[in-house]
Amino acid sequence: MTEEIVIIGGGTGGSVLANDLAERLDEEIDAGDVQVTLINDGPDHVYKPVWLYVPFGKREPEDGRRPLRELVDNRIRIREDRVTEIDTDAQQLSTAERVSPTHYDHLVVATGSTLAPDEVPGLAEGGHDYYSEDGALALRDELLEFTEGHLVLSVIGSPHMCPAAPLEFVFMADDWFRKRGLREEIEITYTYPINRVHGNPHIADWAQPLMDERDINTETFFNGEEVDPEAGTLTSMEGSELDYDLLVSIPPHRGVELIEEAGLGDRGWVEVNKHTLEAEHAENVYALGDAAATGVPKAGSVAHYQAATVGQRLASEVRGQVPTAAYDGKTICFIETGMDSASFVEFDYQNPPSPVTPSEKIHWSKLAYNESYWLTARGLI
Amino acid sequence: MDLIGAIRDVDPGDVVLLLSDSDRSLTDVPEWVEEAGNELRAVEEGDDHHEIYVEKV
Repeated sequence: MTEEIVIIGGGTGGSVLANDLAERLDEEIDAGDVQVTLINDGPDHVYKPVWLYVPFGKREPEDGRRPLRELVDNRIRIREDRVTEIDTDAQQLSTAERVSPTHYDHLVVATGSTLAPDEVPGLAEGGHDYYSEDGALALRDELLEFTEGHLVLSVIGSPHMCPAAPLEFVFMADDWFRKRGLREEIEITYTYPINRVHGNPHIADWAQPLMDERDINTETFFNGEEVDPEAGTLTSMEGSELDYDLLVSIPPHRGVELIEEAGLGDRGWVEVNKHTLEAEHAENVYALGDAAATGVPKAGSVAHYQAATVGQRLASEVRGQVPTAAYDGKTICFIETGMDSASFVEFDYQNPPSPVTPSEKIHWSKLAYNESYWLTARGLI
Repeated sequence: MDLIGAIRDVDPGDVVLLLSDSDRSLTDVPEWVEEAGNELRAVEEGDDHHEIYVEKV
């Protein structure tokens, strides 16, 4: 009988894993012993880091989209469909396009993050974001018109995708306005939920002096609770209020609903063993990337490294061997510190990050990686 | 950070239990709880992880 491996989600984690399995299990797949199916609710793979550059006119959303079929090995079946229910007891999925359920022997949940601005009253109407294609385009229009006033970048969602991106945005905005001779007329304020400017204390200690140097105001212990779009105010759970002329937020995030309905975890994040990435509340289920609640950042590099762990473990299981591969928390991240300089961090469960001195070389490395990312999605680097 | 998201989701009077394997939580959480006007109910330090109970006011 053919052993069925099903991956839900064709983002970074799902695509890298599919290609990893195509290579690792090529003989088993060719012999018909194993079938790997990747289910995605659209035809395209989306590389979200491109969106950071869209508001500044440096990239277009299409630069971050490619058809999944061009990226994923032909040994992998790609199904464009939407999973509507996971039954972990029967080991089957219901989907929007098929009447009969889809059986799995091994399931990998790679359903990522979604935005939930509606959880904060007024945010959808009053705020902008660059965490979606539409949001990034609308923000670009606003930024081009913005020549004076108060720009507030508020980190509201926690956890949220790419923890470095809020810092990057204000560093880039500062530099962008400065180069255009507008900075004197524009006040920039950055708000963060806890008592420093980043969740990781090492990154916070590195970023705070840079923000001070550039006259970027910081408001910590600030958890946006309500936006009044007409008055242009953002109030926090802690009782403070900020006036804004342009509000850019990192909205609340959720995973997809079917995860909670399947009993795999709250708010769409699958509870997993942070080393093996096995779901805590079901057999034969893994989760990776943003969908897995591991405590590490919701970032592409994490999904990439976790895919290698899950790929090795699934291959061992298919071959009747004890899986030994484990994820060590490895995360890497480029951090833009302006329009032409960047830093870089690397850390894992044991070793904290230590951001390197920003340079133009690292900025170009980041842009070069963003282009070579398509080789990552194809499983080549 | 995860605690703040959980506090957003619950009603006043509910208690959220945070499990954290970071020692940093032992200082970060009480500071935020005080700042936000919530109530720290209990802190149990452990070898593997700490348990911190926070009531939403």
